[in-house]
Amino acid sequence: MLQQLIVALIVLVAVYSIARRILSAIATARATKAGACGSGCGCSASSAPVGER
Amino acid sequence: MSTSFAPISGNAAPVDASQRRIRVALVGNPNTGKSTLFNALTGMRQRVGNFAGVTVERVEGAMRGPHGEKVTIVDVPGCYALSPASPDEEIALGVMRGTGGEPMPDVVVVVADALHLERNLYLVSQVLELGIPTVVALNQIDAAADAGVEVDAVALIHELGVPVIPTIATRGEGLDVLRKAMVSVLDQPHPSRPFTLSPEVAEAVAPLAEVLAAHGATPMIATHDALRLLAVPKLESWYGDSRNVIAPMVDEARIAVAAAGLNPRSIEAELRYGWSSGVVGRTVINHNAGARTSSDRIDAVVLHRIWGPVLFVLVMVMVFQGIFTWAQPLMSGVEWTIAQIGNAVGDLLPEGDLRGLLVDGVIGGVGSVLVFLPQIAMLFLFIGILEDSGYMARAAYLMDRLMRKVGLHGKSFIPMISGFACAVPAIMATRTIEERKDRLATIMVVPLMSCSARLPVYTLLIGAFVPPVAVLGGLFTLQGVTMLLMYLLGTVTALLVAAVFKRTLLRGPVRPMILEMPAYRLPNVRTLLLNVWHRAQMFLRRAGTVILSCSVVLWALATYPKTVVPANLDQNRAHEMQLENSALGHVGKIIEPLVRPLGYDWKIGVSIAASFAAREVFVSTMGTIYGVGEADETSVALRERLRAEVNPVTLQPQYSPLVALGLMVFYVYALMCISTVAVTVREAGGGRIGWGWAVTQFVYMLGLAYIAAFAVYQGGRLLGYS
Repeated sequence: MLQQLIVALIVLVAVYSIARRILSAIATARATKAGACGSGCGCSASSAPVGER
Repeated sequence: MSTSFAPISGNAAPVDASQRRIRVALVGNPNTGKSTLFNALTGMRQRVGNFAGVTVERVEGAMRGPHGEKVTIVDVPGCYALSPASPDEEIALGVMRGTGGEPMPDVVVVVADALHLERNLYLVSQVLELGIPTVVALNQIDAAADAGVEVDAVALIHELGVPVIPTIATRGEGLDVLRKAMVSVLDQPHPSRPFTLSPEVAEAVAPLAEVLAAHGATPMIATHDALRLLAVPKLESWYGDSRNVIAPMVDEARIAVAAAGLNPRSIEAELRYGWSSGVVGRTVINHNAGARTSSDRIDAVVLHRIWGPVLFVLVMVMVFQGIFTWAQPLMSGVEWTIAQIGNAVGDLLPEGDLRGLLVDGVIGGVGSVLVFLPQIAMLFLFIGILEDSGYMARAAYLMDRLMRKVGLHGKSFIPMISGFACAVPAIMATRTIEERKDRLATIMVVPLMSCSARLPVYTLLIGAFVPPVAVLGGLFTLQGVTMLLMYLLGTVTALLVAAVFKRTLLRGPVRPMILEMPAYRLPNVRTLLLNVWHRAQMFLRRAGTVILSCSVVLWALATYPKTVVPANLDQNRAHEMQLENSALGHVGKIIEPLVRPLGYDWKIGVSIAASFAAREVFVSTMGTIYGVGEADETSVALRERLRAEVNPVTLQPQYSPLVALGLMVFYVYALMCISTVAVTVREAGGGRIGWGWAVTQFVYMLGLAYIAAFAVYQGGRLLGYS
């Protein structure tokens, strides 16, 4: 039972993470050009303005 | 995000220097080493490269001044003048003029290339006119000295009236002096136009300057703009509604200048270049004037009409052969390590869902992607060498003729080459292209360039189904050549599709390209390794976030609902039955009719569908699918599982080389990347227009992928391949 609870929790966190990624992509599409990509592709780490990280 | 700053008082030093905030803009011509200087000053790792147009956005970093002042440095895209011609230059000038809700900088550092001072002084003269405290960083003095060019920095200080600091940003030389100058310049008189206008020109532009000042421009900007606008074809958006009043005044000023017998379109350039030529004559000694440099001698071969393209193809073949062959031992090591971790976790945990999740979902899914880390690192090492050595700009030059034939601008080549790394920054790099139609055409085809996320898919399928036989006289293997062919297929298709766009939806004239050829240099090993490390970190971050999440969810979909398997069934059949009855199996069976004509089963179908989150998820999904229900077995590399997979009905191999080839072709073309879609929406204009282009891009690429994969599979079968 405990195992299944842990598994359910991990799966829920994963679903939440994917949903956040989709929302982040939508936010990127709406963002202004001057900003960094911020789309979760991984490239934003070095190119995002410091105030946004 | 902008930061608010306490106002700077030029002459009154605050009691506590550490409370003083200073905003510094770093500007300069492209490829003068601005980003290298920015990194050296702030300790950040902004991308650098030995070609123009690497920086396409505004980036902020922080450092402390000599007395503890809080200094914010804004690195902006390179520009040749303060009149924006492309979106990246607009960003640079927005920072300089304080538009877009940001304050004007307190200090401007103009990074000037010591080797090409005359051209760089054009921008310097414009910046001085803005009246903002200015420091000139005379960068790359080592390269200038190597070329026999000596700049008298003291004489230059007298000419410009502002501090001039010789620097070598790559080695960190001159930075302490520069840091001090950035702060001390605030207490010095503000700069002004370094040359005087002739009475006729001054008289002609005076009314325009008055109108500009009356519409909100500072006196310095009004004086600067009155001369600059004579050559500007269209007033910039930052003038807002005032454009209606300013535009007629600009026309009147042009008429007045023409009446004085001068050309209003070229008068600014003539005045500035006349001045900069005089300054260079008084401050620069060229010991090797007219002599051929080592770069010239190398270019005689690299840019040769015949040898240049031959060398380009050879370099590309070597890169892909290297990626495949040299990374192999490291890849086997990672594969072995992941298998050991999987076995150890399997032994530690009791049988149950948690063990299944960790071993099959997490280790089986994420591990199957992590195996490709050495190849990703190798790809970025090669890209880094090509960029840092100066070869990338030459490659752009070589490709210019081809690009023009398809109707693309030569500048499109750099974003397209960047697409080999990742389509997202590559699409952002199209900001350097002036014409909107050229920019859109480039955005539409950049995702056809095979990005690093496709590398795991290619490597998995090539490793599993293409034999490592020697070809081309034993110099290369069939695996390396197959990999190159996939990259070539994407590139050639991108050019063809661009030609279609430029002849239909995005019809427009083809403009000539002016590209600066940077000097060749030996790549900096530290920069190269840092770049590879940074890219490896990004790959690991993706593996630890999106790929991990997808693997977990797909494992759950492949595991539930549980199926009661008859006890007498053998393990493979039981595994198959569980998968087919799971939620993933049901979804797969819905997708299967769509992918069956391509030779795929439902497992490949769901893996393709899942890989829209990120292409590597295709590999992790296959890893998870083939791991489910086998947690108690010794972990076997995914490619071996694919080779051994047998169709339960026909008892023939499930995946043939033909299916693998069709699948690779599908991934060459399909736009399976949510981040790319999002960035296309934004960079294509946002709103409905942006979405329109993004949907067009997604649909045409998916259609192309389907048709090409169908043609490969069905065509191959017709030719007798299975």
